[in-house]
Amino acid sequence: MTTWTDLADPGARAAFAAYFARVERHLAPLPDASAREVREELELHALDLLAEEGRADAALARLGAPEDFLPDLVAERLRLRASKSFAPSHVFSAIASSARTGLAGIIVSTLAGFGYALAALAVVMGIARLVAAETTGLFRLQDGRLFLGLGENLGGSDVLGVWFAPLAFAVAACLYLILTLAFGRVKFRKPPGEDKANMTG
Amino acid sequence: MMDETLKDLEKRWRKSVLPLAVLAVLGKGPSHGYGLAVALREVLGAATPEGTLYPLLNGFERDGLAVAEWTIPESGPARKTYALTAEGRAVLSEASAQWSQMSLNLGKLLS
Repeated sequence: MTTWTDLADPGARAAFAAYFARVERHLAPLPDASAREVREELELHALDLLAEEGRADAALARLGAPEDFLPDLVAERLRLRASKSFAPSHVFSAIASSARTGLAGIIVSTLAGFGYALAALAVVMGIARLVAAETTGLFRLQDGRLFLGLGENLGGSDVLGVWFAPLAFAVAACLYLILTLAFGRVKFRKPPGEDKANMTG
Repeated sequence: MMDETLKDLEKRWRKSVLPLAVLAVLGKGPSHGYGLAVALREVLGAATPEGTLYPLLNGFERDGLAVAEWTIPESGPARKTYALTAEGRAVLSEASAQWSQMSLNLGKLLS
C-alpha cells in the first residue's frame, strides 16, 4: 500500500482523509511541487505509524496536529522562495505566512512590512517627482531645516534637483533587496513540539 | 506537584536536545523521516509529535546541514531520505563536544 486511499478500513480512510484535508489547507500557499513533496512525506510517515500502531487515530496523534508543525515549515519555505525570486507576490505570501507562525513571526513580518512600505513610498516619491518636480523632493526651508515634500513645497529650495528621482528609486531598490534577502534568512523557529503540541510520551 | 514539575523538566530536556539528536542519528547514516522518528524514540522516548521533525529537517536543509533526495528502496514506495553534509558533520562534531563538556560539568555539579 502506498497511499492512504488504499486503506481497507473505511474508518481509517475517513480519519486519514480528514487529517490530510487539514494538511492540504496548510500547504496551499506552497508551490504545487513543494506541497506535494511535503504531503507525500507525511503520508508515508502516517502509513508507517498506522502499521505500527494498528489504529488510525493513534497513528495520526503520533504524527501531531498539522496546525502545530506545518505553519513553520510553510513559512520558512516561502521566505526562502521570496529571497531567491525577489518577486513581490512571493514576498507578500512569505510575509502573510510568517505572520501566522506566532509572536516572533508577527513581529518580524510587521517590521518587514514596514520596511517594504518605506520602499514603496520611495518609489511613489520618485514617480511623483517626475510628474510634479516643484512640489516633490528634498527641500531646505528658509530656517535651514530639511523638508521631504510629496505634493507639497513649503517654499524651500530644492536640494537634490534632478537627482531626487533616481536616488529615490535607488533607495527603494536597495531597501527591497536587503529586506528580501534578510527576510529569507531570518530564523524564528520555535523549539520542536512547543505550544499546543500534545505530548504523547 | 513534584511529579508534574519533573515531567515538565523532562519534556523541556527532550525538546531542547532534539536537534542534536536528529543530527546524531543522521551522523550514523542517511535516513527518512519515519526512520529518524523510530531511532529517536529509542533514545528520547515519544517526546514530541513526529510531524515536528519535518520543520527541523527543513531548517537543516535550508542551513546546508543536510541534503534530501528521493530514493527508491528495494521494496516499498520512494522515500525522501536525509543525509548530513560536510557542514552538518562539522556542526555535529562541535555540538557533540559542547554537549559532552556540558554533561561533564553538570555531572560534577549533581554529584
